[in-house]
Amino acid sequence: MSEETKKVLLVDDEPNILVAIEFLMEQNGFVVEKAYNGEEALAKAKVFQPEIIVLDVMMPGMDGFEVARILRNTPSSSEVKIIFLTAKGTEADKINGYSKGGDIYLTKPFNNDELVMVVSELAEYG
Amino acid sequence: MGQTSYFMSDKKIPKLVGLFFLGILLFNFPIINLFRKDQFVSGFPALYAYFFLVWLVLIIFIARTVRSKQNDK
Amino acid sequence: MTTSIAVFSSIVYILVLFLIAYYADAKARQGKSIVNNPYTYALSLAVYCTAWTFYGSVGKAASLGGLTFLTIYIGPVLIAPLWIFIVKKIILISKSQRITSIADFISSRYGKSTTLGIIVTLIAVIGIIPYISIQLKAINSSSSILAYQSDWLGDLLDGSAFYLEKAFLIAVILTIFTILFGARHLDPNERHEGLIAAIAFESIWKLVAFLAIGIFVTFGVYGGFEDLFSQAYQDEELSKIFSINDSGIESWSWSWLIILSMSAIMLLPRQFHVMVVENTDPKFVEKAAWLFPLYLLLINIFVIPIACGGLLHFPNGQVEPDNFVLSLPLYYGNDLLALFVYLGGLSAATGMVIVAVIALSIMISNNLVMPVLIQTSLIKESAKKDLSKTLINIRRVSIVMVMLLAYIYFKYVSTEYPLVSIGLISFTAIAQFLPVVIGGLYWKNATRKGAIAALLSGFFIWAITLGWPTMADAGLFSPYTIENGYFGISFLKPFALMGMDGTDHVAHSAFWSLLINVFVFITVSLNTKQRQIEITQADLFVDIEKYTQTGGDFEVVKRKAKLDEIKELMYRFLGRESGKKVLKGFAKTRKIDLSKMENANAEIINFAETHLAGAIGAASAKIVLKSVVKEDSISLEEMLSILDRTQEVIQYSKELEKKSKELQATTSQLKTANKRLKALDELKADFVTTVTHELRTPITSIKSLSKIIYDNEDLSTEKRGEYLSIVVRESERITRLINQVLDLEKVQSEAAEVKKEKIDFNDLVQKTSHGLEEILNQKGITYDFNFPEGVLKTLGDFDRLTQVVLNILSNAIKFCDDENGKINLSLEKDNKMITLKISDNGDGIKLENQQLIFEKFTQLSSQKLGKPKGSGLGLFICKEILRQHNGEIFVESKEGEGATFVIKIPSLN
Repeated sequence: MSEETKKVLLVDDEPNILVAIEFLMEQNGFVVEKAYNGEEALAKAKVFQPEIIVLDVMMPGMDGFEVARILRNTPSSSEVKIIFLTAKGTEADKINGYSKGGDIYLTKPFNNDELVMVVSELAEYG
Repeated sequence: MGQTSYFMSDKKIPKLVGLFFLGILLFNFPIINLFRKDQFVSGFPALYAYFFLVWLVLIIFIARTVRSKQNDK
Repeated sequence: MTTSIAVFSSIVYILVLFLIAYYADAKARQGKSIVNNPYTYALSLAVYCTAWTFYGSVGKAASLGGLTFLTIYIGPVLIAPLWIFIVKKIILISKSQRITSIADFISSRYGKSTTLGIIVTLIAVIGIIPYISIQLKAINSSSSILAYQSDWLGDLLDGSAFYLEKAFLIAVILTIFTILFGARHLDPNERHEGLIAAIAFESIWKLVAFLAIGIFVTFGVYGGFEDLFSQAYQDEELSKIFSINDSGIESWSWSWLIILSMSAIMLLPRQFHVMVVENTDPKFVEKAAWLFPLYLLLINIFVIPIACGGLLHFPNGQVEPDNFVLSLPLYYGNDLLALFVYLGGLSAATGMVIVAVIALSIMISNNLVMPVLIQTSLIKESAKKDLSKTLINIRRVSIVMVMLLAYIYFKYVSTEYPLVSIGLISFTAIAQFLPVVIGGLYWKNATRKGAIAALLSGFFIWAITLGWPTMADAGLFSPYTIENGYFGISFLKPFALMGMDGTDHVAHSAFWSLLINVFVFITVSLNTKQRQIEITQADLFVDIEKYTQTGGDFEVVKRKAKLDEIKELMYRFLGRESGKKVLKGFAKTRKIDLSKMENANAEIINFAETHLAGAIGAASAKIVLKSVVKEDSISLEEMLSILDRTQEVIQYSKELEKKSKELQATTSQLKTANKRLKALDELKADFVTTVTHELRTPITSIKSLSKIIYDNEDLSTEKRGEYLSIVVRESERITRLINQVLDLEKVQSEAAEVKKEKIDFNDLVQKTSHGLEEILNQKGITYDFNFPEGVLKTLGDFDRLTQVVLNILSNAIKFCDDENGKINLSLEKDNKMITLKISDNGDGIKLENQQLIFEKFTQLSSQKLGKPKGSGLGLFICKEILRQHNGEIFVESKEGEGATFVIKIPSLN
């Protein structure tokens, strides 16, 4: 287990949701960076090199699945853990999410404790 | 060559039918009965000479009718 | 000359023939046909001149039939000009339907009738066997005369064992060669280029040989025509040869013989084969129409001189007149010429035998054996087997059978008669086809039943007036009937029916058989109805010109079948290799990919049928295809034929057409309605998803943030305030959404009547737009609002109309250009309407979407906003509100050039 703090990139086009998640992450000792759309997320991922990305699916422009695909195909970010966070909550949506390269698929509205636990676990054990 | 050209122009058909009936007339009784066996045409028996002469003329007529195609068009 | 030389020369000659055939076949495979020209075609027609011509003409003339022999050649010469349209028509029909024999032709014309195919085949076989037998007779006797010095081979051949008998061996050798020429492999078109090349060669040889002997007699033995004729004229008896009167032939018989030969030149199975089946270009007929009469003229010109010469040298009948041609050169010790002439006679005989037997074998296998095999279960048992082998074997067996019958006839009948008499028996039998063929070509109402009855009755008369009495005369049966008539009734005497005594037997038979034939044909045809397929075929035959001119669409049947099954059939009957080749060629010319097709269309089925017809006959092909093809009960072609004929049906079909159009209209209406319903259903599902999403998003923030506030009592006041304000805003967002959904319900429910009061629309728009100015300034959007002076009165609900204006303006704000946003508003009034225009400078709306955006649940995703904001209800609500106010709303836009929303509402004066 590494002593250094883990970095989390939060991506969502709804700033109010990001406010909430940012608080939860920082409270649990993660270093947080935020992005409001797909392109921004890709750019920040390159510079920030997060271990974990919490990714909204339905965003204007490039959607979350596309972001995930590009991340997976980029050497520097191919190993990053991706948590899809979306309002699309059917079983089919979940399966689709996993097939698109997500590690975890959480639906909105999420449970705060669950999100924190999932991120922590991924950070620790991969 | 279009497929239509397989058929003769309508003008030709009466000519050909005419030749057919002309032949029937010339190669039949009573005309052929007119020649007696003691008639000779330059050393040839008359009937013998008549048959092959008419025959040849018919051939020439048929050939001419068939070949006159360009004129019809 | 010794037997060995004669036999050896004959074999070498036949081998040369075979080499020519082989060469021509090889050339044909390279695509360089040596038979594809009118000269070869005309020469192949000369297969008409058989041993009968070669030996028999002289024989007939010398027996003082005089010029009677000429009738056999005058008939073809007279009818030659008519070939140019009759034979051409037959060829075109046969090519389009892949007809391979005269039996196939007649069967096809009368509704692809199996029965007719069988009848024609049987008549042809029975009729032609005597004809083949006289060729055997000619080869047999001519070889005997040539080989006057018997050597070891002669001794061997004179042995008592039947298989060493010369005629039998000749039959065997001819059988083998016929099989080699015509039944080595199966050609779907029954085209044999090698055979035709060999036949053309034989025609040249026999002509040259006959001219050689003619010149030898006239100018070698005598001092030219004049000398020969004057010597002949000295003899009172011999001089009869120059006369018609003295030949004893009456004008009656003369005419009938010409009619018989006219029909023979076209209808004899071998003539039909070379003239029609082997024809490569219908235009060749034109040249052949005068080349062939010329050939006949040349081969006949020396008949009388040779006959005179023969009679002058052999006055006492020590030499049979049929053999003069060969006896004269031998008499003068010119063995080499005799051999040349003998080979000429051999070529005349072999040419006839080979072509006739091949033609008959095609008929027997395709029109006699195949229909029986197909209808019994024999074919089914060997379901997966390649049937092309079976077919070729049937051909071979047929050839053997025909030759065997000819040999038997030769053995017991032919020896008793001169060549010409036997040949004419065949001609009379074949002439029975004439009425049904000519009627079939030019008379649409000729029916299958009429044809069957005509052929059977005509052939029956032939049988009792010529076929049977000839055999009785030869001593095979008791001559009682010939003398006393059938059943002892005197006016049923075979050679003097109805007391018509004293006429030539052939003319007598031809007269009665054709009279009855034509009478029955016409009477029965007029009193029977055609089946549908007969009507179709009658049209195709009689109006072939029409069909070829309209582009060769010969059949328009609505038929369906699995392509695999069609393929399988073709492989079975044509052989796998050649079947594949044929299909490949078809796919290539039509530019279709057969591997991707599951079902065979009508075109493929027709193609398969014509090709199968080539291999197994039209009637058999029809039956075979029936097993895999589903035919619509009323096909188009049948419909068309019926339309041609009955007014009643025209009326009926018009009604049908109307009904079907009505049905079609109804169907398409239903389809449209169904589509709309489906689209609405999808829209509804989308709406639910959208609303759900729109609800979840604010709820997520609210839930998460309130939990944070609840869990973290030590949160700074600042943060707590910030989070709480977010919670409030997001709650408002949910409220708005719910209101909008409720609005929709309200607008849609008819019960919610619009309360209409007099309002000032100018005031309404001004108030609404001023309320938005703050936001516009915040976003840096430039705007240009133009309001007219005074009051614009209208009747309406103030709140609702405000909602509309607000909605359109909000949209404009949302969609106008990001950086240099610009919004124009103009309001004006004409006589009746108040017009409000609000335009932005955003992306614009595609033409196809300009209607759609006013539909319920429709949201356009834009490049700028990506996921649509809002519920997709706004514009629909606007439209509904304006509808309730007797106004309208629409959009004018070009993609990339912004959009202008136009609102019209009636003004109140």
